[in-house]
Parts: sequence; C-alpha cells; structure tokens
Amino acid sequence: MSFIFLQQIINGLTIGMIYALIALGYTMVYGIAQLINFAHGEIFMVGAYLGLVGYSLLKLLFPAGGHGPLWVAGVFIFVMPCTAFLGVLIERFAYRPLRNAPRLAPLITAIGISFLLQNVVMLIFGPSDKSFPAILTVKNYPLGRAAVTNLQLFIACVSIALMFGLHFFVKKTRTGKAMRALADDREAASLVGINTDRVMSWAFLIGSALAGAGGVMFGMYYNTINFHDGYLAGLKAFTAAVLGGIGNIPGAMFGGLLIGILEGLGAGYISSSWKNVFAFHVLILILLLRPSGLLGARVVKKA
Amino acid sequence: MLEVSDLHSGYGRIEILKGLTVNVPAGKIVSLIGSNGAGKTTFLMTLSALVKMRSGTIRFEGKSIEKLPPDLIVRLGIVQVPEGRRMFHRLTVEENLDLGAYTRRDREISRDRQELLQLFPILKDRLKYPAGHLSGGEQQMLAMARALMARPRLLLLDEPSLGLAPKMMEVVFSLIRKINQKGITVLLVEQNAWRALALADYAYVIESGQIRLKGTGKELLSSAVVKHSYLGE
Repeated sequence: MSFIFLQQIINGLTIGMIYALIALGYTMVYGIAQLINFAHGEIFMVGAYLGLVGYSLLKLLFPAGGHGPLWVAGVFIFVMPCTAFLGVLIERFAYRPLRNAPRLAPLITAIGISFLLQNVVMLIFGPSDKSFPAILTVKNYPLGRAAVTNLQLFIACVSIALMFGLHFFVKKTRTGKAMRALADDREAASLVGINTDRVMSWAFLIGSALAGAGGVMFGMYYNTINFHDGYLAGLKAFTAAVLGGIGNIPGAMFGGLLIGILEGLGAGYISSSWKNVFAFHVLILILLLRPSGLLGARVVKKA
Repeated sequence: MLEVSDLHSGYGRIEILKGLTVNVPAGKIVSLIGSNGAGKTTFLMTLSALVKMRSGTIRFEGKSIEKLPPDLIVRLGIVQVPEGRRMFHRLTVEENLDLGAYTRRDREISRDRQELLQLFPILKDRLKYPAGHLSGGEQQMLAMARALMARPRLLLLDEPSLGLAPKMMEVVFSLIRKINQKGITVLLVEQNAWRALALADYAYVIESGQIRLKGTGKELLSSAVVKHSYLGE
C-alpha cells in the first residue's frame, strides 16, 4: 500500500466528516418536509464566517490569548447557536408560508435564500478570500510515511461526537421520536398531538447547528474562507445525502465519508485540480443506477 | 359532550359537509353511518382540525374549539384513530405507543401501557417490531392502543373494521364496547352499518354531507330507509 493511498484516505476522511455534517441537515429536513433546502450550504458558509466573528469577539475580550482548546470551544459555542437560529429563522419566514404551495415554490425560495446569504456575506466581508485564524497549533503525527495532524483528529472526533449525539437524539428523545413520526406520516403525527411546526423548527435548528460546526472546522482546516464556499460544499453534501439515500440519517453520514474518500483518492491519483469533478460523477451515476441511494431501500409512494 | 351544529367543511372549492348537526353525549357510543363519499371521514378530520372548517360551531364540553390546532384538540382529549390505521411504519410498536402519549407528561404513562397491553395482548410480543410488519388486524389494535395512550375522553374511530377478517372484526367491535365501558365516549364512523348500529346508543345516517336520519341504534336498525339503503334487506 503506497503512502499516498493512506494519506489521501486520511485527508479524504477529514473533509468527508465535514460533508457528512452538512449532509445530515439536508437529509433531516428532506425526511420531514420533503424539501431540499438548497440554502443549507450557505448556512455552512455563514458558520465559517461567524467563526471568524466569534474569534474576533473573543480576541476583544481576551486580547492576550489566541489559540488552544478553550478558544476552539469558545468559537463553537458562539457559532452553533447562531447558525441554529439562522436556520430556524429561514424556516419560519421563507418556508413555512409555503407549506401548502406546490413543491417548486419552496425549492425556488431556497435558491433565493442561498443567493441572499451569499450576497450579504459578500457585502459585509468582501468578495476576496478571508484568512481564518489558526486556533489550533497544527502538529503532525507520522503514520509510516504518511501523517495525520492533530487538526484532522480533532475534526474526526468532533464530527463523530456530533453524529452520535444526533443519533441518540433522534432515537431516544421525545422530539427525536416526533421527528421520525413526522417523516413517516405527517397527518398521523398531528393526530397524536405533535405540534408539527415546532418539530420542523427543531429539524432546522439541529441541521443548521451541525452545518455551523462544519463551517468552523472547514475554516480551521483550509485556513481561508470565501463566500462561495457554501455553494460547492453544499452541493457535495447534497450528493452525499443522495448517495446515502435522502431522508436516511446513517446514509448521510456514510455518503459524506464516501464522497470525501473518493475526492481524496481522485485528487491523489488523478489530479487535485479535478477534485470537484468526482463528487458530481457520483451524483450522476447514483441517479442513473440507484436513485433511492445506497441505504435508502424504500421509495414507496403513499397514496 | 360534543355538540356540532351547522358544520360546513371541505377541501379546496369542494364543499363536502353541508350543514352537519351532531350531538355526542358523554359516556355513550354514537355511530355515524353512510356510504362512501358521504363525508364521514371529512367530518372526523374536521373535528381533529386537519381539515379546516368553513362555518358552523363545534363545542366540546361547552367550550368552542373551532379555532384550535390539531395538537391542542388532542390535548383536550379528542383523539382520532384514522381510517387505514396510519401507523408510523418504520417505528417500532413500542415507539408508536410512546408517541400516543406524546401530549402527556405524567408518571402513569408506563402503567397505562401495561394496562393497554392487557387489553391488546397481541401487541405484547411485538413491541420491538416495526409497526409496518404487523398484519392489518394487529395494526388496527395498535392504532387503537396508540390513541388510548393519550387518555382520550372522546375517541373518534374511522372505519375500524375496514379490511379486517370477520373474526378480527368481532374482536374490534367487542374492544370498542370495552373501551366505552371504561368511561370513554366513542364516536364511531362505519360502513358496516349493522354492526355500528347494534353497538350504538345513538346513531346518525349521513348522506351527501347532511344528516338524513337520527335516532337510537335500535330505532335506526328497524327503520325502513336504513334497512333498504344500508342493511341490504
């Protein structure tokens, strides 16, 4: 096994974790509302920029410091509630009024919101790349001739923890069960007394918090962020969600990791300038060969 | 307990209920019979606030409830077992029962569950199975048990015998009586007119969105119109 292979798997898994976090938001909202929230990638991007804002605010409060685990925690604690709030706001004012409209209407609205967020960020922060502060000092750990960084390990740990948290939430809590009930049969969910609007807000809240966390880690990993970043990452995460079977939570995690690995290997063995092409080949193939996704067994239309 | 008067309701431009007046006295079983498309399901869905009413009044225990959303209707104690069972198919039987108690926060939920499993013993061995794997009769049991978990005061049953084998039908109707004996008021909508009338204290015949006949179950069983149109005699 060449070291390039191992190295690209490590790199691919890292970015795959971030794709998976974003993909969860797509898949949760789709499962509950049958809506592709194309603004979700932008929430991820806003998360990255809010990471910058949070860091600057912390810097104002504590001019002496600047990096370390506490700072990382501080930035996350700032960003995740902010993006969660943004997601809830978007649902409330952009999608909820269209709940009974034809399905094309919320889709177009989602694209509109996506442009809106991109342009607001561009107006505030400018169109050029912004450098993201190095909140963690990067250390290399050799693995044969390949290497893994503490940042990569950190991204993996945080992502896995968040995914486990989500899994627990959906499986065990009252609201989580209500979400699954809603995904199964919205009317029946109303009939047992579930406030469907509130559960919908929860789905956006959680999905957007995860995307925010993904945005911060994206910034930490690549060191620069741009208002365009959400578009591409969002599309790839969407691909991941479709690959795993849209509406399927484990599928989204799996799909994200797979897209990441594929991208890593493609970049290592073919060309890194072609990196973005691979994910979309997968999207085309999956739509042709298995539109329900790898783990999505059921596409039974209810009458 | 439930007083509905001059209720108009429907979907889009189509009006289905054209001035329905129905009374459900506390503690009784009231049946509503009628053919397909007469408006039976629309009536229950309007009571559950899933279909928006156009005009008329709905009073539950003296309070008007026309403007309440579906979840608050359930909290008031009006719980529906919808037509076609409408299980949460991918959730387990146990989770379906838990969701039945979604509106409750008290400590007697697990006790109620134990009690219901006595009433619906079929479900006991199936707790960990996805509800979608149950047979039609078992799903009907689960649908009723799920509704009872909410501790309803008025239970709305939409075609509980639909698609069931005769033996299972028997079980379902005797369960409805048992549920009623526990003090739960029942509003039953059925195509199986004979069964529904035999069970009912009071009954209504609904035709194209209006009440055609009303009376006690016995009176309607012997009424010429009912005999001719609904009992096939």
